[in-house]
Amino acid sequence: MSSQTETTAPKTTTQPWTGQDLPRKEDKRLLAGQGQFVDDVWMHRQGYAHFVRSPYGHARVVSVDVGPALAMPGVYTALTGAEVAEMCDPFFQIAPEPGGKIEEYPLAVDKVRYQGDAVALVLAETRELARDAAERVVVSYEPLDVVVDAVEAADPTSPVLHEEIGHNVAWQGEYSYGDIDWALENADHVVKVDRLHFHRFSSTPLETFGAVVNWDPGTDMIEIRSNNQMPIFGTMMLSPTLRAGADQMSWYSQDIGGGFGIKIASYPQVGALALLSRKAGRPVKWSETRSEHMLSSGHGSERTFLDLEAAVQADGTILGFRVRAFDDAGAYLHYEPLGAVIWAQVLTSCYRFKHVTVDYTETLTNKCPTCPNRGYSRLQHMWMIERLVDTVAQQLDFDPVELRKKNYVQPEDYPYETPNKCVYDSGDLPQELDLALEKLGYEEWRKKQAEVNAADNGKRIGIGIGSTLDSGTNNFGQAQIVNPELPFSGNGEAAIAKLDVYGELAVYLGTTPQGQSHETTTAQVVADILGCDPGMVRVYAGFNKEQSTYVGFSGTYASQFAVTGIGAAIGAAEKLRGEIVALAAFALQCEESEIELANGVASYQGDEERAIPMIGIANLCYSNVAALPDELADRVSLNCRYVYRPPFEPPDPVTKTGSLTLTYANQIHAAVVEIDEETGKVEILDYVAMDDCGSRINPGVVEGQVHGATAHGIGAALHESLDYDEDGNLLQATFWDYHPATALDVPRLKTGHVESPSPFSKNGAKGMGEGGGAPLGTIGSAIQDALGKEVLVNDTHNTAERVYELLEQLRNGGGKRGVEVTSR
Amino acid sequence: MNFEGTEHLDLSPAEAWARLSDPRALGEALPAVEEVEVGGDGNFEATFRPTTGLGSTPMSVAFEVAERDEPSRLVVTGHGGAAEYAVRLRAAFELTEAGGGTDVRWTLELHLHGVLRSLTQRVIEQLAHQQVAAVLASAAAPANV
Repeated sequence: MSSQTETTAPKTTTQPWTGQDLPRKEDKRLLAGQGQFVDDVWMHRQGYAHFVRSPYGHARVVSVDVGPALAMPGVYTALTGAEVAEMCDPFFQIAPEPGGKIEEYPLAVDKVRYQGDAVALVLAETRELARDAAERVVVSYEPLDVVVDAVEAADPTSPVLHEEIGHNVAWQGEYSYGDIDWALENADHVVKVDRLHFHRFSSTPLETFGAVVNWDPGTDMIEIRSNNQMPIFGTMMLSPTLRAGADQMSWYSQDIGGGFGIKIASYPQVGALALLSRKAGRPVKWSETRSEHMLSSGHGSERTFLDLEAAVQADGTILGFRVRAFDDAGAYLHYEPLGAVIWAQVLTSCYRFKHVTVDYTETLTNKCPTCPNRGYSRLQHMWMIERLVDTVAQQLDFDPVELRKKNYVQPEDYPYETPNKCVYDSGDLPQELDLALEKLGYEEWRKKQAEVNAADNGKRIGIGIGSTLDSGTNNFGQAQIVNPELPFSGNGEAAIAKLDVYGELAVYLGTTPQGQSHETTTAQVVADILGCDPGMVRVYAGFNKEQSTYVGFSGTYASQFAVTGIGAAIGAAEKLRGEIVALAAFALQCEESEIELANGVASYQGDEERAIPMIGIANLCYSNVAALPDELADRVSLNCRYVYRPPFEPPDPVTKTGSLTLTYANQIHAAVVEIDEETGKVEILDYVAMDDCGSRINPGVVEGQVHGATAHGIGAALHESLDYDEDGNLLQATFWDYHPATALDVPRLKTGHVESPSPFSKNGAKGMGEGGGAPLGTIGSAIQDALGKEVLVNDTHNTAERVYELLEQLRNGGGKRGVEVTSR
Repeated sequence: MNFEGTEHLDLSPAEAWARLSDPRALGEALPAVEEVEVGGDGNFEATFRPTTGLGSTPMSVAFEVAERDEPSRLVVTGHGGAAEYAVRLRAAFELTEAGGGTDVRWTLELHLHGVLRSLTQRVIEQLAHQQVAAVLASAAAPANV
């Protein structure tokens, strides 16, 4: 059942804390400049590292001479790819062959494959000296031809990046459900689109990559202070590469200035730093420059869709579609080819399509490796579907609102099983769309649009809609769909809830937050369970491998914290509550069922005169244990670990079916844009972002995530792009050319929320934060609406220049530009 | 990237060709040149600091006069750069007599690699024209004779 709520919940000061818009606990230190980020970390005897990076997109490394750098006073040492190849093994590849044959080391060994590929590291006593010394390293390259287009890369005649494969196709597979051939043969209409392109952009977090690494020569322990957002995955990747045990690797972080998925992929750099530390016998510190970040940290997925065909009935029912997808992985596989299956979590996006075939190819190009990035792999697919729906509406003269409502998954359909057996948990998409349009003032804008567009005054108005899902909590069994040999399935998260010796309540998470307010939301939930004020619950900041608890895929990513992280915290807090109640019942000489926890005190049925404070409970367990009967003493530790496991089964890798993710938040955005016909400039006149992430733990936190995801999507739709020239040069290597959205670029947002609690999570939450890329669909839809059916908005990135080109096409007679409709 | 243009020099084609084919004269004609080392066979290496959108950037480039067709045609190639950027170029000059002087029609095939490429992308066309014009003007100047 769904309900609409106001944006901000009324503030109260009593339980339940969950659902209240409490101020963020983290802000006390962050707003006072007391956060600790990786560049704040200092280790005794540390040196500063600087990478030497390739200016070429593709070249053989003929020689690397670090002699001139080493000759500079204050330079400690240097490390080359050739040395690295001796010191370690190639990274484990998630991909099966052919991608699985790729041999990637932390530094390029004999060949560079993208501009920014690191060939050497220099360590010096200051950051500036390391940078100067790196410039003295003489690298001789033999330039090679480049390929920077994913479709061209699949051509056998294209330059080959990895000779060990012999071509550039890293992974290929067909996903086929229902009978798309039958649907296309029998549909009343078939709408074909030649080509759609989802462009390359990134999240450009305020804090770039960084790490301080010490491979202790005495203990052989590798201490890693970093902002990697998934350190246990990093351990899995690095431990075999470095020929070190996982137990040797200790990861720490406190505050991380944004991750968005990209910071999962910092393990190659951390690996290189570890080897440099080992060689130097001292800690090494590295803080990535912004240009390095743009060049080499990791980019979001770029995807080209060819030969899209949609089968449509006369009444507007869309039966399904067929498409060929070419995903551009860049030069190496970082976390890929998981993206080759993760999109399948949202196979049909918000719609009830029954017949879908996707021929998916992932190729290697001379570009920065892609990696998880906000809405990883799914927003590409859902943008394509939104373009499909809008194109069908426009070409066949359906109302875009009614067409969506007709094809949306309906409220009564939940739990809804998609053709590939994913299960959508809850929602009310038609209601959410109605609310979005109401907030927008849709009818009034349509009238205004008619007036403006008829006035022929050089302006055009368009109204667009974007509907997306934010699938959260992966089933890692989906990895077996891309590689049946991988021993992964399910998911989990761990947490510890503890009552300390003087009655302090503490929670340790395994989730490595990057700004998502874990300390606040966890405290709210735990306080409700333990009957206390959230201020009494200390949620430890960051991640500490020695102190935190974790499972293999611990981390904050894929919009899952509210389900997995909070699920683990709930489980741990409930276990702790059970122990507290047992100790209180013993102390108060009553039944456990008669104990109440409130205001930080355990009492007999709420009697303040017959109560024991938390310090008394702690005393019984820690310091007065002989007073306890053995059966109770053996049962309690007040240090309770819990692992939350979502109820997953392994998917079927043969049919490529199964539950790939647990929860589905959704977003419906609507926007009005104005296009200047003389320049192509797009201005957003009005914007609505509706969100349904199930039960909200803290509405203010949700609101912040919605704003962030929307701003990022608007930035990507209109400004942010990572393009390469014909030589493999990145054209946006600085913020001079890459323009993240600022306050000046984002209109005042109208937000609203529908709450459809998930029946699959402990607390009704669905997870959120990635946002599904709704602005990309919305802005594209609005531009298309403004331009009409004679041209096609076929790219996610619509700068003034691109819109001007579309206007020019229109002025030259249009011609549908790659769209064909066949009707029976 | 490919650029082209035409400049007029108040020199005869033979004089213009002679100066443009002289490695030292050509090297010293480069804007912001700091050092020119002339080798044999028409080769020379120049260290210079051309101005970019973000100030001047040090660059060491090895040039070679690759084709000589006196007095009508000259092709110069170059490659070099610095730590994290690189340049490869091929400049062709076609000389024809015009109005008592020489029209030099030039084409430049330029490959910039590294962050320099993105930093200069908005100004590279103008920059290329300025640099070539400066080289030709400098080569034609009496001081360089």
